Amino acid sequence: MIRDDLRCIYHIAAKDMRTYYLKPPAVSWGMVFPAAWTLAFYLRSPSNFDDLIPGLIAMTILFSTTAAEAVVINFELRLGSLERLLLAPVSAESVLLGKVMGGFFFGLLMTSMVTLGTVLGLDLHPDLLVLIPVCLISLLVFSSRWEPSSASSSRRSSRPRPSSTCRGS
Amino acid sequence: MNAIEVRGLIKRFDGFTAVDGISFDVKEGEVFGLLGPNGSGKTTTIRMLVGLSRPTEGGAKILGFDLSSGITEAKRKIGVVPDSSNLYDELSARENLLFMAKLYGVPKDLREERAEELLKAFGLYQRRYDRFGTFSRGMKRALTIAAALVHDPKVLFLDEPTVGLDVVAARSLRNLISDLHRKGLTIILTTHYLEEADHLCDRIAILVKGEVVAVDTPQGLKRYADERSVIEVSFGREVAGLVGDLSARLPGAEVVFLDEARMTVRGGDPSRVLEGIFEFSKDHDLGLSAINSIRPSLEDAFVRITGLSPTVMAREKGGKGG
Repeated sequence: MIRDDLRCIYHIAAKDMRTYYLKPPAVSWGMVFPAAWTLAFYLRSPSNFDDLIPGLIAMTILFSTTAAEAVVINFELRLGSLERLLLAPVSAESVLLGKVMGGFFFGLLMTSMVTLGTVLGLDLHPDLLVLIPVCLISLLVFSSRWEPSSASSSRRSSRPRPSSTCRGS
Repeated sequence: MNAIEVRGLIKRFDGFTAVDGISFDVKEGEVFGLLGPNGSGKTTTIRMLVGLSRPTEGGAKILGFDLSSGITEAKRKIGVVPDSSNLYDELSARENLLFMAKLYGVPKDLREERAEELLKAFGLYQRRYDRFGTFSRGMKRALTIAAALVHDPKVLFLDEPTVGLDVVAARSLRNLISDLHRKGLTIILTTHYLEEADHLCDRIAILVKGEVVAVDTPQGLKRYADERSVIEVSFGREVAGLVGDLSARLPGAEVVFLDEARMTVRGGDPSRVLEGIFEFSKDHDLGLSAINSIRPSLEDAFVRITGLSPTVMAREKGGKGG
């Protein structure tokens, strides 16, 4: 059972990465937006660029994890394709976790690229024992962000709502 | 053996009872139809049986697995085709099937083979690399059915499979369903098309306002219709002025004119009615051009059982399908 759930989480996350995240709009939202903010701060105060790096990483985490995930579940709920996932022989929690993990992995990819680029490019020496756990926790927190108001409006607009009846797993 | 056993299933939404204590059995290998007008509770029943909605009361068993405690096990053995084609527009036909196969745990070495087999069987092999979003409604419907079969289920739920399809696509889909039936799959089909139910189903449950009002074979249901014989007669010229003479020759029968030279004769002893019509035609030299015995249709039975007009069934779900 647990194996089935883990398999399902992986495949949903992988499908979401391919279908929604690794697309130009999501990538640009995840990278260009923080870069534009950083550039704005840099132009205002060019001498303290190193100080902007933690902010850049934080913004990359925020914007990359929320690039598509905030709308993916509502989008699929409206289209009815979320029902496809709920019909699979796994728990509803696994389906939700699969969705969250899609955002998490995308955020991890973007954040890793930005962090490696700045650390190597500017020859910085961050404390990895602090940086990595803080980044991972932030990624998990932001990627599990949910829009309760839009979710409920979406549910109201759909026909009888899908409920989590997959208790057997 | 029963593939599905439904007992006293009830679903209420905020005081509104969508399904009101229905009970029925579906035998293994049969096509079982849930027939009723829009809003009669067909889709809600299906949603409860496939685990998308929790019953308010009552229960059901699918292939021996209880709906409340064994739904995950049951889900491994059922395929579901919802009333809208809801695969992923961004993925190709092949990718959609492979993704569904992964979700249902089809072994890696079998996935490609199974997807290819289904794409060929449903006539979509040539379009296997095309995105689902570019398909026509009929092709989308066919791929949605293929996706429900990718894990080789024992029971297939089809919710309004032909809604929104053109005549050719609907006919092709009905042939596909008949093929699946011949292969021994148990199929639960909801529809509001009387002819479709008559053509495809071994047994039919008629739902009205959330209640099952009749369960029988199409032939069995037709027996609920007007039991009197109906004969349609066409003459070579006008006979409306001779109705008095005709009625006198057909004791116990009711004559209804369809136009001036055509009529239906309901009731009476069929052999005496035929004899009377032939004599009437000969005596007045009317030139009998056609005579047909009309068998009661499922529509007649539906009207008799439910008291509803068949036009209620003809109203499609606006803008749906595809």
